[in-house]
Amino acid sequence: MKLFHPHRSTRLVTSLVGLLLLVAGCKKTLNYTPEVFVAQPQVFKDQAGATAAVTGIYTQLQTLKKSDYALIGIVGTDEARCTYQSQGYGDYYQNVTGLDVYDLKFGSQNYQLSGFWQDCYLGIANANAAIQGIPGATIADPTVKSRLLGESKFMRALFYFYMVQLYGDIPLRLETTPFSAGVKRTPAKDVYAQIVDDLKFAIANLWARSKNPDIGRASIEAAKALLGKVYLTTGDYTDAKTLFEDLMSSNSLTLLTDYSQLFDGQHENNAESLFEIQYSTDPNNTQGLQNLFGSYAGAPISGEAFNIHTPGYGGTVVTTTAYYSDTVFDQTNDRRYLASIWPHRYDGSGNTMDWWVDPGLPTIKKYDISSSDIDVYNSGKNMYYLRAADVYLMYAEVLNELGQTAPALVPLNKVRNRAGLQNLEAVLGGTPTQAALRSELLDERMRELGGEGWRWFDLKRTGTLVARVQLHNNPRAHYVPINGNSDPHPAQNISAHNTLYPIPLAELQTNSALSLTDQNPGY
Amino acid sequence: MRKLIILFTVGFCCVLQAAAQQRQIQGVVEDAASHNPLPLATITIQVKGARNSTKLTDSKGQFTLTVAAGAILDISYTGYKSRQVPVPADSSSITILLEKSASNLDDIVVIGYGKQRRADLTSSVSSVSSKELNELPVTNLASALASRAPGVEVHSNGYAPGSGNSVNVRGLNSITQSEGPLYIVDGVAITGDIRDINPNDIESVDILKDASAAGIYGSRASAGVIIVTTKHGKAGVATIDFNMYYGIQTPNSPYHMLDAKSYANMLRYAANDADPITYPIGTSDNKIFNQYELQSIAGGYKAYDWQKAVTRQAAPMQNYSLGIGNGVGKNRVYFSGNYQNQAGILKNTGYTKYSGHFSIESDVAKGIKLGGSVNLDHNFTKGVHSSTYQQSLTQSPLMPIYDSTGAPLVVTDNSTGALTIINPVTSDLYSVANYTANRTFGNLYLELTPLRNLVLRSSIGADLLNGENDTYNPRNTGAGFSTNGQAEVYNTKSTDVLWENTATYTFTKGDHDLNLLGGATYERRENTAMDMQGTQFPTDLLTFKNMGSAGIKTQDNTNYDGWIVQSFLARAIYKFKQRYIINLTGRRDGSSRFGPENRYGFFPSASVAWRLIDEPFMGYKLKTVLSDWKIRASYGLIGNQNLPYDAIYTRYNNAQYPFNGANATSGYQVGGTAGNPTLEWERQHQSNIGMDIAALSNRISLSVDVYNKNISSLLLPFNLAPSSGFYNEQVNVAAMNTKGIDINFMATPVRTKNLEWQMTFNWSHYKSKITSLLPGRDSVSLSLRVGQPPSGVLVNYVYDGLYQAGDDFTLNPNGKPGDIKIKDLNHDGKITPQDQTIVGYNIPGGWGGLWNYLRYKSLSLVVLASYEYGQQLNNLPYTNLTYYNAGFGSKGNVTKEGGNYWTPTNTNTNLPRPNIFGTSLKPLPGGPGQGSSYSIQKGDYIRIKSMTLAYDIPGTWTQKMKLRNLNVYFQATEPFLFTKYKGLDPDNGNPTQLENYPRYRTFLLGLKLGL
Repeated sequence: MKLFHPHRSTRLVTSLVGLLLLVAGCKKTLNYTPEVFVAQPQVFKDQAGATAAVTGIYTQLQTLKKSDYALIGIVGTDEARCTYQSQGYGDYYQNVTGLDVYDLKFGSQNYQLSGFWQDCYLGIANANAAIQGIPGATIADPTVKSRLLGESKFMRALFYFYMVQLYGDIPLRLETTPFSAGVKRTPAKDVYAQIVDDLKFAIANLWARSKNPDIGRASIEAAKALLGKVYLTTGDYTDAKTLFEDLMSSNSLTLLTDYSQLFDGQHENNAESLFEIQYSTDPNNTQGLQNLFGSYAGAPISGEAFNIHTPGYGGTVVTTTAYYSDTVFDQTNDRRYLASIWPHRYDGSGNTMDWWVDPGLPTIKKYDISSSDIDVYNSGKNMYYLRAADVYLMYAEVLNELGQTAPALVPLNKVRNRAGLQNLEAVLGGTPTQAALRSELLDERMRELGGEGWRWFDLKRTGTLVARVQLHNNPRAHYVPINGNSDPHPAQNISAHNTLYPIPLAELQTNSALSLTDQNPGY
Repeated sequence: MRKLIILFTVGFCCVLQAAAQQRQIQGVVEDAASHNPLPLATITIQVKGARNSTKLTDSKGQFTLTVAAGAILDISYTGYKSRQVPVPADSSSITILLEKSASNLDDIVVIGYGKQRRADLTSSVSSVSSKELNELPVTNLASALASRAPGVEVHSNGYAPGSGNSVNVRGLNSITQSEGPLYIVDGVAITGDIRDINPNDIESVDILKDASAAGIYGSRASAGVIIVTTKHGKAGVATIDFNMYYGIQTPNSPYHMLDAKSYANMLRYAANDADPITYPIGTSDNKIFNQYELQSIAGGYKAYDWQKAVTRQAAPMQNYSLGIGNGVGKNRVYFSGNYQNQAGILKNTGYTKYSGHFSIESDVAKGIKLGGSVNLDHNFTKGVHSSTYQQSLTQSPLMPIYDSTGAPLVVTDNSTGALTIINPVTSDLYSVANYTANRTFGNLYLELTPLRNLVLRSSIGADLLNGENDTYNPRNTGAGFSTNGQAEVYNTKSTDVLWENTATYTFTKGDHDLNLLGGATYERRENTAMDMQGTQFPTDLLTFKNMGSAGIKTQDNTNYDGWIVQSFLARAIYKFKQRYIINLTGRRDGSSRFGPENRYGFFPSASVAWRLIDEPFMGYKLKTVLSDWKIRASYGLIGNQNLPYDAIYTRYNNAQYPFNGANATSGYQVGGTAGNPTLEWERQHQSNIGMDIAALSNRISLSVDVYNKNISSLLLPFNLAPSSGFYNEQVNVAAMNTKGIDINFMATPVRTKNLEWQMTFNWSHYKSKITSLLPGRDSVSLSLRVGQPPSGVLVNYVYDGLYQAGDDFTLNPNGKPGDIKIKDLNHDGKITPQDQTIVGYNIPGGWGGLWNYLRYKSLSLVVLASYEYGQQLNNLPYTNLTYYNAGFGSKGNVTKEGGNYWTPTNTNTNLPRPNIFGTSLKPLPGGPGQGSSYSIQKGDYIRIKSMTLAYDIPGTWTQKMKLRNLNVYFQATEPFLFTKYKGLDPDNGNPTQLENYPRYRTFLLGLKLGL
């Protein structure tokens, strides 16, 4: 038998070639892109994409402030602390408590410190991507384009401002830094210079609050207030003064008449507000800080709406220091007292509670579930980042530091009067000394801004962190000791090196430009 | 032209060239021992000077032939020794008796795009037959493979009816991207779970283990390939088979919890330990116990059996399947239907399955064959909340289960309104955790034979799978209370289409046999998923069925991904003198999962076999002892194309921000995992050396395979500096080695007409270790280190007994006598995560199965046992049930062993002091949940998987009943387990998951009927 008959071999070859051609015809379809997400080049094509990428930077701020990281700035100060009880919730909450008690858990592996670092840098990475991508996007209106760039730089400055205050020298990553690159710790002054640059750009390119397409976007007013705060922090009182006076002369600062309206959840983005972190009741945008602050309503009680307040139900993580809740307020006259503090905790039947080792301590009220929320676990309440009262108090601080102690009382008294208090000089019977006003301003900031996330930074800026924590964050008198002297104790543990947070171990290990010796002293 | 006709008609009919002296004979082929007829035996008629022709016996083993005198009949039947019988000169009827053969050399093995005789194999392939698969009442093919094939490791993912399995072929093959073996069902690639394939429809399963066998599947082959062939109609006969069984499952409970009085005493002690002032012993019951418990105490420690309340004591399971085949004429069809129903031991759980299978093969014209098969499957797994069983164990035995109306008693705290007593019976009765799957898969093919030795085949296969997970936890359950009902509907859909074109050419001349295969394939897969979750339902009545009524939608998401693989493949098998066999295989894959630079990969492999037994130098004397002897060797490169579908892209993910505090605006956010477009395949270089040897007419046979796998380019997430905004990127960086040995031994110690004993035994062993990780680093975490296995490494603190009065409390300054002591391994004076170390390996030292078949006349007993040894399990569930480790304010019962807790008067124990705040467990940095080396237990076991007593109704009776065969059997499934392990079952990969469902044994009656 002949193996290949001429006819058949032709047919054979034809069929084989045919088969191969059929398959080869599919070759182009090997380009299969999963279409459930977008990648960099697609994002910064047009205005919609660029706007969406800028939205993502705000999202990161929202994420940062709705987590336990929001306790950074609040606990471990003279205004609030973690309950002894929360330590018992396990390893995770022992890390949370570490933020307050400055013990071994306050180290380079602390979850919250590492998380705060990571989350801020995630915001910075998104801002960098936007700053790099927006110039190439096709956007018809140049003022929109510059506003988007301005927002991105405002946000980058905001994140770096947190970082530089907490950690000191930090890797400064800009839009030109590749993500895989190792970056050395940049001196804090250079980081501040970058922040000032970014905020100056923001002031020049952002829109006024009234002109912004959305009330919650960064505005010229917000950028000015923030830059003023940065100047104040770096001790550049003259530039700070100029900015604050600029805000006042342009009628950008308003105080609501009723302090309690600031925190009732019904007056978000009000006239006093300069920049808020926005939350809403849809599932992706809620925060749950009421849980940490022991100030959410208890579980449903039949016949009662869920948002009737029954604070203290469940595990409370944060309580006030005795100084904040019992001492600093003129409890009779200061309208801020009952708007800020729950003096007691109650159970569902309205009885005060003393069932745990931190018995019946007052809690911060500002994070309460509001009547517009839809359940006890998810709050849609916004948080203030900057508001007019803060600017008035900063302005007072600037004037006092510049030696203008008497003029400093004018902005201070605006804040006091709104709270129902008399002018300070009337109470004291005269103008205080510069040093006395410094101390008074710190107390006033606690009364006005307590629990709003600035306390740690205020104390650090004024160099009073260690002293004030030692003086006022001494919980031992306020619960039944379980383990005697070995119970965690912020006042006893804090020392000078705690004015800088530890660089997360993961950064030292994975940043190729850093080594373990690049840690802040004391950790 | 005549030649052409001959060429095209081989295999379909025969044209005899020698004409003369044709006569008709009738015959029957029977089993020599039982005289049962053998249907479908192949009769090859050899006539000198003429081409051989073949014929099959009918369903009663009978045949009719018209043959020339002097013709020789060669009768062969799978599992029997072939015989040659001359056509008798003087008779027109003939009875041919075939003896069973212990050898499997003539078995046909499916090797991927082809078939081969086992005797000719050059690579390592294990096979499991339909008969073996159906020896157990399994609902899942993977569980049927357990302990059957050496090198194949099967573990349950759960014990609830319908649970899946995890399958490892030859040990660990990847660090991060293990996905189990590739399943090829009738040529269709099935990804992931194969529980939708009905074990009753399977004809055979072949497991391609080494690089040469699996290499034809290239970049998909690194974890082994399991080829499943379903049943098809057989030429020339019509058959009907009906199988059924009905059984009862009864729970095995190894957990004996403390009785009511001991429980009450423990709680009193635990409360007193926490706060002696508030809870003085003897006078504080009303602060410790609730009103119901106090009533029970007053009633003389009245106890309630919670385990019993959530379990069924006798859960039925049943299975019916009907298969009809018709091979008469030019079309061969096979149809089967199956119904299976298994009630669960936990009330309200169970598994129901309906499946159908249809296949057809048609000789359309000479040289043109058309065929196809369709499998339809619908299955429904009914489940309840996963914590139900665990909760029933830890419930206070003093608590009544039902209230006065007979409904489960649920207690609400008056002061907070919270559900304080979670009654697991409510989740058992009312919670829903269902899974429904609909799967359709099958293929259509066209086979052309343009030349006698050439087969061109084009096949299109598809696998369509829809899965739906439905969950609902109503208000009266712990999970649904505070959210006013909580529901999830999670749907997945996958579509896999595979188009394959192959050409096979065979050539035989003299001492040379050559088989060439070439082909091109194209596969496209798409996955979609939809997840909806909600809470705050107006009513519990509608469960998950009206997601629109959820007050809050907590999740509303979809996903879409897929990939394309396009390949060219080729194989040459050359056999010289029937004893030297060489196999060269190559496949070139292109995959869309990789960046443009790394899309294509080439995977070559080679193997050789030497049939020593057929060498002339094997003398007659040796051959009287040895009946088979073959040596095999293979080496090749195979790949693993698994990687996260988005790993090469830097994703901008969804982000939202409500700019006005109310309405969300959509946005994008970058971060997390950075894309790496330079990713490539994980590569596995595997060598295998094997030997098959048989002696005493194949009554003893042994197969040994030794393998070594060097696996490189392994994917590892490379951590990026947190300041970059990214967590990590995937890189091809790590390498590992797995070496192992598979042994299969078969023997027939007794084989007489009435008495027979067969046995098979297999043993497998492997050792895997990481050889390199990231550059310059020999460890990534405590459990991921160079020199250690890539998974199964148990890392924990080292338990060091209990603190006693007077001990040094430096390591645990807050500690008290009766607390757990942890070793300070790094001697830094404190217990930190660095004090953890490797405390065990959840990797077997060896495992396998032992199968015994005993027959006396028509009565047979089959006993299948499986064993595993050397592995350690982190039995955290048991530890948690033994320590009194309740959290704040909640209470939980412990096992009887747990009653031996530390007290100042009972110090010689391993169990810490109970404390209602759990503070005695605090020295464990992770809290009670994390355990210590205390919870590591040996997992060695021997299990009798099944004992089956069967009776084959003798042929003389079945013939009267006009049946082909009839078999009735009684089986005890998993009747015995021998182990020192203290949990529910040591046969598992992850105790934490599996302790959620009680184990059971099954007793069933079955019937197999052939017509």
